[in-house]
Amino acid sequence: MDQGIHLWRAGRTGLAEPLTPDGLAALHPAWAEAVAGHGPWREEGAWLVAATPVDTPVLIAGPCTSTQDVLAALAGELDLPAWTSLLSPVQRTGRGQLRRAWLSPPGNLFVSSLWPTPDKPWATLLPLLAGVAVAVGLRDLGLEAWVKWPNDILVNGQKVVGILVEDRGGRIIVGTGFNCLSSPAAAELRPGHAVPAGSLAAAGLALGPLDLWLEIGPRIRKVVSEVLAQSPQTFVRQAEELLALRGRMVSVLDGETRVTGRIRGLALDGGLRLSREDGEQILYSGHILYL
Amino acid sequence: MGAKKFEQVAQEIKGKSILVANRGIPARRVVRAIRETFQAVPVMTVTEVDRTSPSTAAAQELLLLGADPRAYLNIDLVIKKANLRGIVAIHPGWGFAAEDDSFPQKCEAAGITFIGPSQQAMRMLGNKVEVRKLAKRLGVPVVPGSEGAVDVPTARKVAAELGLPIMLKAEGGGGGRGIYEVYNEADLESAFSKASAMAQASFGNPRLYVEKLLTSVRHIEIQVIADTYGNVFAFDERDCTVQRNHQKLIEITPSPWPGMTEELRERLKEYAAILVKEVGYYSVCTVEFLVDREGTPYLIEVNTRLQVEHGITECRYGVDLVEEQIAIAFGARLRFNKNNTRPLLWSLQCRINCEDPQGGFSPNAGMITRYTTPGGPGIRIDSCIGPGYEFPSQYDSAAALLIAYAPTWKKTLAIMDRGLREYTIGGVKTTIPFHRQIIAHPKFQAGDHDTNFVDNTPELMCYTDLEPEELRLSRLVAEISAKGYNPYVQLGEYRTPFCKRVGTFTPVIPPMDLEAHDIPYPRGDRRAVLDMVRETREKGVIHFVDTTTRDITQSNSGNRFRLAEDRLIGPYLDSCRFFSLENGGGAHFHVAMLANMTYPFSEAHEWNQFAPKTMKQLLIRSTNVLGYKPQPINIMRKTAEKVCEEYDVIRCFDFLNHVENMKPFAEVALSENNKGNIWQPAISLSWAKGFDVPHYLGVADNLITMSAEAAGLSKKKIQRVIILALKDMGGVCPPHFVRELVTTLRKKYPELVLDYHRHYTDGLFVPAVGAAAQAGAHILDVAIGASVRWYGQGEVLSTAAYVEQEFGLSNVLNKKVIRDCNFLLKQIMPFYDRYTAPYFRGIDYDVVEHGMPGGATSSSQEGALKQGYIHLLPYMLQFLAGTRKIVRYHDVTPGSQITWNTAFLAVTGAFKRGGEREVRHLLEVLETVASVTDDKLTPAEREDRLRLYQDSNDAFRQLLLGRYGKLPLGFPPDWVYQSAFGSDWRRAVAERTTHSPLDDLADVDLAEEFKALRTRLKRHPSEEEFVMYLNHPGDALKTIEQRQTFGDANNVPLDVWFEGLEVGREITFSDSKGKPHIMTILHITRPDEGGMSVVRYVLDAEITSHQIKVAEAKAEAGQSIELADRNNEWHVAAPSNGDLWVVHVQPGDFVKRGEELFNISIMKQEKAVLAPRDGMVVRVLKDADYRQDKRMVPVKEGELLVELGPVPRLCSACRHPVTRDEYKFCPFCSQNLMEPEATDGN
Repeated sequence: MDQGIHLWRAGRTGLAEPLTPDGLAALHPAWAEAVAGHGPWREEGAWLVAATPVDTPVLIAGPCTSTQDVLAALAGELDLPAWTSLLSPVQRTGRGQLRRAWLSPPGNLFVSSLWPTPDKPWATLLPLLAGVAVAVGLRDLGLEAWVKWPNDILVNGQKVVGILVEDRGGRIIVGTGFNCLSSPAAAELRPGHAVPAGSLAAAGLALGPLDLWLEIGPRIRKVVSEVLAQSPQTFVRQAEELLALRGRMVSVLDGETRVTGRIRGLALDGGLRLSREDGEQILYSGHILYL
Repeated sequence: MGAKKFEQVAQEIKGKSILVANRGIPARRVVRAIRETFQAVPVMTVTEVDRTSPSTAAAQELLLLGADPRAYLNIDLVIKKANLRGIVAIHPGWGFAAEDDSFPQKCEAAGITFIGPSQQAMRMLGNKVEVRKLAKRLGVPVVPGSEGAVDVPTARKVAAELGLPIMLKAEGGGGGRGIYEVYNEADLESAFSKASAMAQASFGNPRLYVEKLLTSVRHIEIQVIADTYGNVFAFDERDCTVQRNHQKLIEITPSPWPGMTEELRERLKEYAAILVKEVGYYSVCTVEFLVDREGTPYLIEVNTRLQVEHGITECRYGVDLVEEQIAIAFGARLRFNKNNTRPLLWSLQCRINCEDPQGGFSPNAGMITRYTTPGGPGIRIDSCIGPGYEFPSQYDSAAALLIAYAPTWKKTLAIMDRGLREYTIGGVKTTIPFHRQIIAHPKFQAGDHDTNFVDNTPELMCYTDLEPEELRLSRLVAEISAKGYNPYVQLGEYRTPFCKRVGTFTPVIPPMDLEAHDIPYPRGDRRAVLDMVRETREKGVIHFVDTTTRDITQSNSGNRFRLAEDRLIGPYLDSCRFFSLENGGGAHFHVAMLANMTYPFSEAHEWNQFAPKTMKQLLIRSTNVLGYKPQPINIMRKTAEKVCEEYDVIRCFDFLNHVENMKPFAEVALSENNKGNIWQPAISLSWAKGFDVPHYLGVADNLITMSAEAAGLSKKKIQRVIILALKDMGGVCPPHFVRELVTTLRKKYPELVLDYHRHYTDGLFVPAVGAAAQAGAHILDVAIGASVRWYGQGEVLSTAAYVEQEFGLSNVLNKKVIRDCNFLLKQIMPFYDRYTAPYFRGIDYDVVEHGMPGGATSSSQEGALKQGYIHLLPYMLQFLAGTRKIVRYHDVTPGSQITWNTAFLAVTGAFKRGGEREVRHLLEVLETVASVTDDKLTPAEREDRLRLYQDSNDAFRQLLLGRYGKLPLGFPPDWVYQSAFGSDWRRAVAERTTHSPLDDLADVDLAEEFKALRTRLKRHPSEEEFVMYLNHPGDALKTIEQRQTFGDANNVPLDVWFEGLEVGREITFSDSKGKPHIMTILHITRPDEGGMSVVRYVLDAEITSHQIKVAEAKAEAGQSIELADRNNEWHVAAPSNGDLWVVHVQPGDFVKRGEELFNISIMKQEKAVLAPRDGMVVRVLKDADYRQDKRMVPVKEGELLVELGPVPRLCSACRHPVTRDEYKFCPFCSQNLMEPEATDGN
């Protein structure tokens, strides 16, 4: 698979629907703009390739279950290089961590990227790294983004991006859902959600899904490559600077247990350091709720 | 205040409390100086996890900082506590807060002396931009770049001036952090914005400056020390070029780089000194340069603290930098000057870290189980570990600094290599073996490397990290002892720890007859050897081959002698004056690897050392070489070359007597390069209609013709340089037939040396070999009495006596040594006999009918018995007798297995159809068909005979197609094909071939195979390992792995090998280098709920323990977790600590390779764990379904979570599933599923 924007017109039963530029354009005005802006599209087997040059393969698949599944399937078959990404305009069963649902209406960005497999010391730090990379990318684009441990992205106290890092048979596939233009209403969120949802457009970054990805994708890649060249400890110190809710009293819900304490920062292995009355506790799972 | 003398300061400090605000190696280093030089009170900061660390040993008091592992960074806390304690001075060590420029200030405010520079000087030299400005002003060269921080247009301008590539560096960064490389102008803008954003996020300072990116440089640094009075001393350079990811691994002083001239050295020292003087810096610091290939230096930064590698400078000069640094802080005058401080030695430091270099240098916390440090001249160690220390995961991985010093570079390297070899750190992976690779690398030794050396030298990663052999062997002994049986001899659970023992093996060694040194055979010259045999035979001397250590004792993996026992009897056998000792080949080769963890060629090599006089002989299975399936020609040749190095006589047989199958081997054995090798083609003998004397004369002629072609000699000449073997593997030929055959052969080929080899099966061994001798055979195969069993050869002395008394044939044997050898064997055999499979070991004269050879009958009986068909065994033997008259070949590997399977399938098939009645009917049909010509059969009989082979397996059908080679008496009649292939039979008939299978086998790509093996082993395989791998890939890997795990198991005493060691008994065993070791087991715990038993034992003086799984885990295992066996590819473990949140499979499910089994959340990364191979789920040890019950189950790295099992194996012959793993025989067709034991010994 070469560099450039590729549209998977053939699709595959059970994986992704066939897709045409017109069909894509019909899904949302932002996509219509993208289809026109990056055309003309030339044929290349099962794919259509956009005129805009891009320095990694960016794949667009038709409506699918989840971009994670499509990329995992194609990665093995096509021997895709690291940093190949795959977008879809709509996900039917988009998922967050622990297979929670991620609402995926047209107009928002659902993208999965194939990351290089890092050295072992990084194994537990990837979710955090994904969060930091997206936050730095958004900061580059002018938003004051913070990382709510380990990788929810908050702007103005609202969650605008969700991240799912999966290791599938040794391939690291990072799924990222950006609320570009719309965000779920409070009632649509999972009961017990921690923070309200917001959109990037409302925060001042009004880009359609493809254009947002072309802006932020390379930035994420660059950050990750640079961070991986440093030591994990260095990275954790950097990540701490972007950590949301530092010093705040929070409660962390892990399954049915709830731990309350003040966020002190990050442990060297990426765990969340919570100071409690009876000493410090380092957490590796659970999600943060405000108090 | 006037300048104080060092001694004054020392007096002043004495008895005062000085704090080291650090941990680990630096803390220990500084504490030592405080104590030894000043007799002051050394106090050390500790966090909770560090309170019991070995580093604290030298401290007099500890200052507790609490639970936060990062408290060493908390200067305010440290100073507060120091004040309360009455500390007079603080040394910051290196790392942590050592370069925090608020530290001196805060100390001063608290009235405490800071042992380091002033805040002002620290800021001037420690800030990269400031020091750069300063350097430029003073004429010290710096890496070309921008003046201070720049914006994008300036960056672009600077880049254009410098040329690409460039670096963007964060003003606030350091230590290799915050650096961005730019190779294309197009990337500059975006790189700049990212680097700036990252710098803001990382260091709170977005400002960037530009520097030229230097390629191929060395890292050279100058240690400086200065006092508060402006006295400055610069030491010779340290070369820290060996780095990985900007982390130094090795430091050297002086630099071994040829480009390091005296002029350059002085220049660098001068630069360093003027920088320090300019800012009035005092204390120690290091000025770091990059030096390019041309010797141009560039200042990069100044470290305003003591450095990790300061020790090598101390060793070079014989000084103590830390005591000097402390004294300076208290106002002492610097004692060093050019007159009193001169470089004396070379010095080299390796940083020993708890990291696994082969695993991407991943940190490796855990218990240090063994710890032995190097010592002797020229060694210094600064470490923070000790035996029993639980190396913490919260801090960096530095474990020790190992320094070697000596007057020359060469000596320094030698001391370091020796020191690294002496250094033992058990329980965790360390960088020790990796350092050994570097030290041994010619580029490193020549000083010809740059900062990319480690990245660009992948061969550094090719090493094996092995623990000492005695420790590995002791684990094997512990395992056998806990289980009560040795799982590696593959005899099943043949005893328990509570069974009565054969006893301790303490053999009485008969004195070696020193007179018995002459050997009549001129080994090493095949022509001379054979001339001698011919000439003596003319005079009535008969010769003997001994098979004691091969054919007699090989088939059953339990009675195959280990090299250990060969070592005992070999020297005696060597003096018995045998023609040759058959000590290799056949099943022996494979069983050596499988059951004895022995490398077969190394074994043969050792044989030639402990038994150097007598020729050695081995057996080759034509195309199958040393395995069970045809090998391509290049593997045959490669193996043959290896074989010819260690063996003299190469016997080769083919079960079809298809002589072309032997040719590649003949070519190697007969080549002029191997003039000591004797090529010995063998005729596989049966005795039956058609297999008569004229037939075998034809085979002999073919063998002679083929050998002549292979050697490039005439048929007449070849007869003088080879031996023809008559291989009666079933022991079926009656004496009169043997006499007739040998007489005819001798007459037709008077020059050809004949060897008669036969087994005892029919009970007629002695008369038959007697007949051969009488008829003129030259050589007979025999064995030493105590080892003789019916399935092998007869006994040497009785056979010799018989031919002597009956036919007047004398011999050259040394009977006294034979008796001595026999006495020794009598003491060895009980251990082997006790654990040999007990199945049928008697005489069976019916073998002349059924033809089942050697060990194959006993394994066949075992198969029939275990599968509940023992009542059908007589019918099966009857079927064998009949079918041998229809499909004609010889019953030796692999033919014997094919015949047996065919009989078993036919008889059990008939039994399933209609009970014994049907079986008897089938046999009647068989008898009729075999004895009557076609035209005399009734139509009903013609119909019924098609049932004879309808149940036959694939191997039989392959044989009918000619895939093993040409059938000796031609293809069987068409109805056999009709029976075996059914409606497809015409195509089968059309597809038959008489070519050698070698014609169709493409050569294997040896280079690729070698690469595959190297990748698998992570090191260069030896030639022997490669040949083992080519012949038996899976089992070779297993053997190599076992060898790495346990060492050479031949060092384990014989009784312990089979029975383990009793608690309380002391044994002595030697390792492979001959060093003796003592082992006593103290206690073996009862298996816990996980089935694990702990063996506590003393090895030499050290008490240690080994945990062994001796039983299956109980269903309701409590808290203890079961660890996956890393070598068991059916075990699926948790890949790291984390939370199991969903399991997708249940026991009994079939899974495909790559299918997700379960998913673990590790710090919110979701790791799908996939099936490593196709299989059936046997056990699921932990279950979770977060979406249902909101519960995650914590799991530990390495914990067994899912156990897979083979999708019930498919029988290799009939393709039916074999449902139980322990089945040795296919329950459907009785195919023997255990290859090596399936053989008949050949």
